[in-house]
Amino acid sequence: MRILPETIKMTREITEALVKSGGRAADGGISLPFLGSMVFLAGNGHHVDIGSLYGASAIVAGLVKVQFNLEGTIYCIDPYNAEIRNATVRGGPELQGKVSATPEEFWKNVEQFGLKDRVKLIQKNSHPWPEELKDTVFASAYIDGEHTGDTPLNDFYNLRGRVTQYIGCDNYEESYPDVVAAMATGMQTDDWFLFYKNLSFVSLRRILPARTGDNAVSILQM
Amino acid sequence: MTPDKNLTCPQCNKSGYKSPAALKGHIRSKHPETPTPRELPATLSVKLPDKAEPGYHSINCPTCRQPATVYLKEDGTIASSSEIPKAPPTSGLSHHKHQIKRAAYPEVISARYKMRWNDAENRWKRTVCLSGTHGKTGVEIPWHEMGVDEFWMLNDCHGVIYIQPYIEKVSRWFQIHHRWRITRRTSRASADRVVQDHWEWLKQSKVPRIVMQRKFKEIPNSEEFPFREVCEMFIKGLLGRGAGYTQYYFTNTFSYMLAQIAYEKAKGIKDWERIELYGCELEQLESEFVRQRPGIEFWFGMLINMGVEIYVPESCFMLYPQVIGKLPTGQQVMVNAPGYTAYGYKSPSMEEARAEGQPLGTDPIEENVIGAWDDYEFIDHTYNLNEAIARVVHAHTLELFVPENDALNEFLEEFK
Repeated sequence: MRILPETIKMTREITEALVKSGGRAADGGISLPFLGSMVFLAGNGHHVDIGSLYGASAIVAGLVKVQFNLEGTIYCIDPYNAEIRNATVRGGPELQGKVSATPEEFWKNVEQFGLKDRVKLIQKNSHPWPEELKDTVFASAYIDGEHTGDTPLNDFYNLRGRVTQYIGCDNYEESYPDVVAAMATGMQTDDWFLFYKNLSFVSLRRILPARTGDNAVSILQM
Repeated sequence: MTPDKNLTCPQCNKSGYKSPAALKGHIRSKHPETPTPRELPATLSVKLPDKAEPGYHSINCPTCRQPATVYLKEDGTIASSSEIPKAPPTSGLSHHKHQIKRAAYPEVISARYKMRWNDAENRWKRTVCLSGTHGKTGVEIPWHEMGVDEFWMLNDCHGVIYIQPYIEKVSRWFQIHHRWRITRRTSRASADRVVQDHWEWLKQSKVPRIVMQRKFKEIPNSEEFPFREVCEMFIKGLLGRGAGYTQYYFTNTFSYMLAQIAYEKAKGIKDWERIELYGCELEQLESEFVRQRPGIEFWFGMLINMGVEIYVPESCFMLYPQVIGKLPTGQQVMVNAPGYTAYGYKSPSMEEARAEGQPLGTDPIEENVIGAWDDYEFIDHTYNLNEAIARVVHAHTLELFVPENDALNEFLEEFK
């Protein structure tokens, strides 16, 4: 996957702005260029962001849509339940900013980047899947919600039939075995496979041609 | 096992021939007037343990004395090569390992999604996928794609390798042939190389609806195709011919499937909006397919007029005229001739005509306007595909990655 220089620039702007306002981007925003480039590849269509916190990932997705003139709304799903988040998110000593955020902080950041009209917040858990998004189809998705237990896998299952192009996920690393297991399961389904992996970011793409074996298809055979 | 060297010539009583071939050679050369006996006694006798189990056993070849393997049958005799049971397919893994998971190039799938999407109402169009068995586009059946309401299959294709694993996704099966044909115990070989009995399969099928000439008591899921009702609804007195009317126009099973869609739409049973057709080529090299094509085209026209979209894969022979080409081996092949779908026929092209010295007329500039409507909402499929490929090629130009990777590495350095 090409990592667009524009997404690196956006990431710097976003992390800087969030730190100034007392918030933070997950892992200092290291995955945001990958996410932004993935959203660009997905092209026109809605994007859904699970676990929005201060809005960094939603903002980068929104900025990509705006800068590259792509259609679609950014749907953010986050219950903003501080009690649960404080209990489940482990903050390291180097962690900048608070662990939990509020919807007000989220909207403030979104508005700062002029994305109020492109972003919609669904203040609910991602599982069971919010009723208002039951029939919505997305071009891309980003999973960065609860990292433990069944939630990562449930997030994948909920997105599996609703996303047409890419599902990205953060925290694909040994500290979060449930996330790894969930995405590894996703890669082995019939319709999703590993597309890109860098650091703790992983992206799955829906159905690509087989490259080897009896059913391999090259561009020339189309 | 030891060789029996006692074959004896019936003419001169010379013995010691250890094979029928050797004895035949002797008779032909020494006694040419004697007809060669048709069958000669076997030369080899096999001595295996009395209680040898059926199966493979190691022996020394009686002729060359080298170690060899024979297959012992139940009756204790050695099996000929054709009698040796075929080994079962290893574990079935090889079949599943390369199971088809995608049906088309991603750009095409992406375009299909866009076409299947109803923008105005923010939902998938009500789409039915009809599939035949021709390998050209049958492998493109979108089993794994979203936005297809139902898959309809037909005839005895349940054993075909790219259909068999997905039969549980099929909601309707069409078997319109006469009973005497479908009760024959023949069918296409299935993917696991076990020949399936089609009639038996129909009887046990879990496909929810099997559309047939009538409901057969042996086939619980069968239902009758509304033949007369469909004809009265769509054809009745509209197709005049000679001194009367054509009462029906069904030239193959697909015609019935398409008519069923038209029927359900007209009756308000299901408001179908889109049909995708795969595995149906009707190559005009075989007279059967020449006979079959008109019915499909007829019902296509009927359905388009009812507002139902029709979709076929890029390489499909349907909805295109064809010309017959020839391979260097002499084999005839079909070639799509898209130019014949509009005025200003492309064949011969202006270049070909010029090369042949044909007159070009007074206005050779306006040769063909297909695809020239730049303001047209529905982009020509060939142009769209070419553009998609161009984008892919552009995205993979390596020079682009150098500055981008430098920028990324610089960014990642900040986290160290």
